[in-house]
Amino acid sequence: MIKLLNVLRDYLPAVVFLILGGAVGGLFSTLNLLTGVRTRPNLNRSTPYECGLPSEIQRGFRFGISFYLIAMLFILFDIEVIFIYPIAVELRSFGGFALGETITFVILLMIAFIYVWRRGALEWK
Amino acid sequence: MSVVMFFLAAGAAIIGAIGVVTLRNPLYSVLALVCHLVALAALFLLLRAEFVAAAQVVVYAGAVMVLYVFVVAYVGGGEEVSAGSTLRILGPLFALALAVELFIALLGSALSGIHRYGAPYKLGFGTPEQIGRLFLTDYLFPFEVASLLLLVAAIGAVVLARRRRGLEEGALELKDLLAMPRPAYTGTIAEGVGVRRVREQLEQAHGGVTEVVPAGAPGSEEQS
Amino acid sequence: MIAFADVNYFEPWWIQIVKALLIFLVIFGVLPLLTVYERKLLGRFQHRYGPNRVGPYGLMQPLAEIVKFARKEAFRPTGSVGFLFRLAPAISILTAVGGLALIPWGNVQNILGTRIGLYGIDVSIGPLYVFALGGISFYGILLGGWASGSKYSFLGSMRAAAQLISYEVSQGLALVGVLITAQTLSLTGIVNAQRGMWYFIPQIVGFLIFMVASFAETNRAPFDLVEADAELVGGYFTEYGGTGFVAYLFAEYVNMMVVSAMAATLFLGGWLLPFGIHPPGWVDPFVVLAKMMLFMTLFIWIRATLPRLRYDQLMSFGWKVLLPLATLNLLVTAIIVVH
Repeated sequence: MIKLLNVLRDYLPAVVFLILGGAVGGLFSTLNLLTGVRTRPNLNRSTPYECGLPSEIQRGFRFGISFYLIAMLFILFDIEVIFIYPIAVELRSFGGFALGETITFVILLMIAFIYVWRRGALEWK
Repeated sequence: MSVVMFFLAAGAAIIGAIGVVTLRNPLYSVLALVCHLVALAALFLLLRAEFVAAAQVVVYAGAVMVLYVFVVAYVGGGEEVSAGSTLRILGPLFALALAVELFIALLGSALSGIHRYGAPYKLGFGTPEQIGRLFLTDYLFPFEVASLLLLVAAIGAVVLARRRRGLEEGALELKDLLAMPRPAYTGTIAEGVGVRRVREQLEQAHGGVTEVVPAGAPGSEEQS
Repeated sequence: MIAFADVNYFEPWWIQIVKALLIFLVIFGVLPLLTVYERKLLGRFQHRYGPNRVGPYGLMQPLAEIVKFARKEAFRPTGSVGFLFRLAPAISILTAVGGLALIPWGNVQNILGTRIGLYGIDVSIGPLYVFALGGISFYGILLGGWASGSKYSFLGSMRAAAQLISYEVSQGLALVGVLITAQTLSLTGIVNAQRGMWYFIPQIVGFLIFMVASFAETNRAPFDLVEADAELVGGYFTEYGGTGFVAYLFAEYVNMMVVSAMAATLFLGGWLLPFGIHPPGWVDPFVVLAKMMLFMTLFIWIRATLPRLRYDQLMSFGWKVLLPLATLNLLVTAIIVVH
């Protein structure tokens, strides 16, 4: 029974670290509310930062499609990383066969990458 | 401790899932989904599927949700969205059908498992090593097909972005921009706040200010 | 059969908690000194002294500053979303501190008759744990910018997000060469696999890609466009002041430490010393700390040396140079190792 719980027990220090991080984070983000000086609310001072000519952009403004493309590419390569990691660990013990599979996998993804590149999706605008 | 963790994670998962469908602001919905996915990862960890838990966070919370956030930013976040009338009727119907299906599956299998021990568990289960071995033996074909799927996804993304006219041919170079006629009073800050001397200089140089008003801008009708 | 490192022993649960607390306290104590170190060093690079008034050699400077920051008004701009505005820096710190758990400070040691691993966790998923936390820290930055209700903040956070995801891929792929050679993801396993040769010699390309990507991931110069004051007025923390601002700085420093430790572990042999020197076990954490300091110094040195990149250069460098290079490195390593 102890053996079964073993893997979970490996993560106990991580849980402690996360709790500590949450505590420190919570402390930092609320400390000013407790110890900071208090002033009367002032409308002019509490407006968000502004600079230069007044602009029309509001919070709900739209972003370019480049962000969407970058995120899509990121998903592709993130999945590649996730797939490659377990294969990489076993690569040596499986030898040439696994190597062939890995190369096929990576080259297929590289075709996708080259296509995206050639179509100009990597140009940042 | 694992029982406490289970109920914490399960509760967070359910609250997150409810949040996704009830919150009206799309960005809040995405955040609730992130909460849900992280809670699911914790549940995977409790099932000793370490690698799947990490993949869940890295791929879903860390990548797919990033795409959602960017799409929300692209569409223009902050506004509330309302579904069309067809969706309003069809949505609950599909949800009901799914719920019935899930309950059949739950009552059929999971209930009988409550009072028993879990499936036998080997040391080394759920580690990247084991997953890698499975990829290279039993699940070789799905593994290779996955890369094909990713290829299709990449092409689809580019095609969709092009349809939205996100990637236009022949982008403007800097020298083109400099040579373009520009509306008066938009070049320099001094011009913008209406310093008269700039205008006079411009009039002397060009024999008149080029009053080019961008198409669709307010006042473009009067100018033409 | 079981490839991941030595987990067939059980530490009592209280030892696990105590060692986690101990590591955290040490880091928490070192961190303020690190900020002084950075400013002293930057000062020297620019022919000035840096902080030298508060306490001996200016060492008390962080203490004075935290008091100053704590006395600031709890400011929140109109149009900000209060709850998320306070939550965002906490998320950043949470994920950064969580990463500290993975740093291996030494091997499993016999201390007073019990076997204790000198690390927070040594799990089979290894670096993926840090990547998972990095994925969540994205929301700390994004929410910070969005909840501020300021367009500069939001713009900065979106650009930070795009930068983070662009370099995360290269960072992940750069490690594959190490994994192929070490045949494990467990960090202690990787260190033990480096007994023959440290990986930064055969994996020099992977090492360089990892370092460059790490600079971008931690928003350090020359990739600090996230806080580019000339164009973005301070990026996602434009509206943060007082301890909220400190929280983001704290998270950045902790992230730097985690990345330095990862680089030291994966490429510089962790707690191992060169030339076959085998010191007693208690030296190990200091070796790791020294190697980490090496990387921290590099971070600061680069900051004092290189100018900031332009944003489109940054994006195209990540996608068009680092990513193909990392893939090539992966393929070449795989072919060499298998044959």
